[in-house]
Amino acid sequence: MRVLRVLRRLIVIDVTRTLIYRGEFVVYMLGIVVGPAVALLVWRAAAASGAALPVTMEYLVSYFVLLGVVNMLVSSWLAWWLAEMIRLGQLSTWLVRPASVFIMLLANNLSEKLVKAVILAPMVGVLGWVFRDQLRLPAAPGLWALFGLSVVLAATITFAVDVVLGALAFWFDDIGGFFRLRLIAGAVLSGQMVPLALFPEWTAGFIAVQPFRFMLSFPLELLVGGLSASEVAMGMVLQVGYTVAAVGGAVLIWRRGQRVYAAVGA
Amino acid sequence: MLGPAVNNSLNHDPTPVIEAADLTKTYTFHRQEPGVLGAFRSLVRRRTETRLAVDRITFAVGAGEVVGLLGPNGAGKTTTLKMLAGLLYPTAGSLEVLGFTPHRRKAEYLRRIALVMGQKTMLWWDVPTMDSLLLHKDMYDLDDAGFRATVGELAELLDVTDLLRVQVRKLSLGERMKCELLAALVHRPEVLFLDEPTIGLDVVAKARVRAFLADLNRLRGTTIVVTSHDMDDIEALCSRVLIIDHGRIGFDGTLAALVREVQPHKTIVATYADPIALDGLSDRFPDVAVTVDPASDGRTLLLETPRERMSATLETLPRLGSLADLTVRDAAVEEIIRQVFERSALAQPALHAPPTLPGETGS
Repeated sequence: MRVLRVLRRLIVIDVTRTLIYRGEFVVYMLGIVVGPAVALLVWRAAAASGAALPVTMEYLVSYFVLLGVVNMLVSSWLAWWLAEMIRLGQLSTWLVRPASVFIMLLANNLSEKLVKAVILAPMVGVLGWVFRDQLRLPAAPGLWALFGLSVVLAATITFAVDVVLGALAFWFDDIGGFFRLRLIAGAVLSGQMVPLALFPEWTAGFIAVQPFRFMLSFPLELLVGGLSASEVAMGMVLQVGYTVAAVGGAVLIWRRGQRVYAAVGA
Repeated sequence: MLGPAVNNSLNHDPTPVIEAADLTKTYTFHRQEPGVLGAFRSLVRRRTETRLAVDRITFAVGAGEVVGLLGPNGAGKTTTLKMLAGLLYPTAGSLEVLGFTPHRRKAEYLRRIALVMGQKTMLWWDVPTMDSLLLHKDMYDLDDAGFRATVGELAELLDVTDLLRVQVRKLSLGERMKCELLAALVHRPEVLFLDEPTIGLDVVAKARVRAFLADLNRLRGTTIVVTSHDMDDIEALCSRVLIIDHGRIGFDGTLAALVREVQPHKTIVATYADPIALDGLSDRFPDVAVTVDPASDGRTLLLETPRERMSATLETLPRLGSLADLTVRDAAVEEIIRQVFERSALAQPALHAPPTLPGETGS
């Protein structure tokens, strides 16, 4: 209960803080919507000029309209922040209080997403309205529930991977290289730039099981269709497995890292 | 008022709340040559070195004591404070604070201590201090009535009642530090660790913070361990000082004892109504270094007097002429500490770079 009260209080503080910078957030959210919209126009043009695509135009429209929302919901930005806290000794202010720094990081994640969702909703609504003729969303509530669960798991994996990356600052002065590597791999393999369904067929086996798929693409695939029941079941099992592995890895690395924390500058 | 005053004539209980035995900390760091070439070399061969920051120190602090950790930069005092607060894992030795092992950072332990760092903020910059206080209320599980009473008392004592609803980033440094103290103390910690609590503050704010901390110790019996480069902080607050140098304790005792040990003389300044005869002064004041203040027209004498000669010297002074003024002073604490550090620097030139351990590696 105490943890939940602290989390709620931190969310209130963070929402207040976030609203101060609301203009900046509008620009961020425009960026999140404009990217997929441009990609969608490019793929439509390709299809119109006769390119043979392995998915329907309805699949692509639904995918790109929802991409911005899901990308925002599963995202995490704590790696760089956490690394700076460790590098500059700011982590100390949390280590001497009876509340984990991760409650603060989780509150920051949830509160910013709350504000972003409010800003993003009308933008995605406009995008959906523009492409309404080819937008296809499932009606089955079960599928939406599965989608919700999958988004939570994807967000958890992303959060835990960020903790691992940020915690590398316990041992390395600069985690920039690891961070950029993860961004590049994530952009390509998560379906952020190109839907995984459009990857060459010979890569399908690897693409289907690699972890980045479960950090963004898989929840989207549940909504836009194209997965058999067994593929959905296998996907959920893999996603739960990756979640356990990522959280376990984060806990292990964090515990080891604290032993070498130098608490500089204070 | 900070609640009921603690009835303790010595103001501290000899029962130790902090016990350190052979406490040791070594840091491991990587050495890299400057420039691009150095960066590439470090990729292939990274030199890892260990540095001894705290070297087998043993001490105990009783409940209600105010102890100052003194030492030059790099001496190990802040590292010691960080180990006490649980931020650092000791490399060797044992450490207990309030019966807990600090680095395990049990919630029960963290609820009973507080750490204030002069150069780090515990407050949220974009919201008023009250929001941070409410967060601490939830973190430390404080009841509404107790929380309101404590905040009211502390805010009044620190003179920040009107500032609690102002965004932290709009406060001056002095105002912010007072709010930091309030936030750190709202859960009524039994042990307070302070790292440079008055750094950057103006003289008025410094005096206010010192007075507040002295009251806190006197009225609540809070045990305080403080590091500071400001000797006025130490003089105003500390009943005891530990001088840490090269990671070891060089002195442990009261400030008065330190002064006696380092500077066994007192300075007497005697000013007469008229110029006095200087002949035979050395015979009248054996073992005393007598000089005449050149700006006084021969009316003011400065006498560096051994403590055991004080009484005889003071008895003799009125016989020289009509005394207009007489003052007796110890050397300034700052001067004493400077002498201690300088002695240490002469004894070991590597004062600012503690020696590397025999286990230094290159890999």
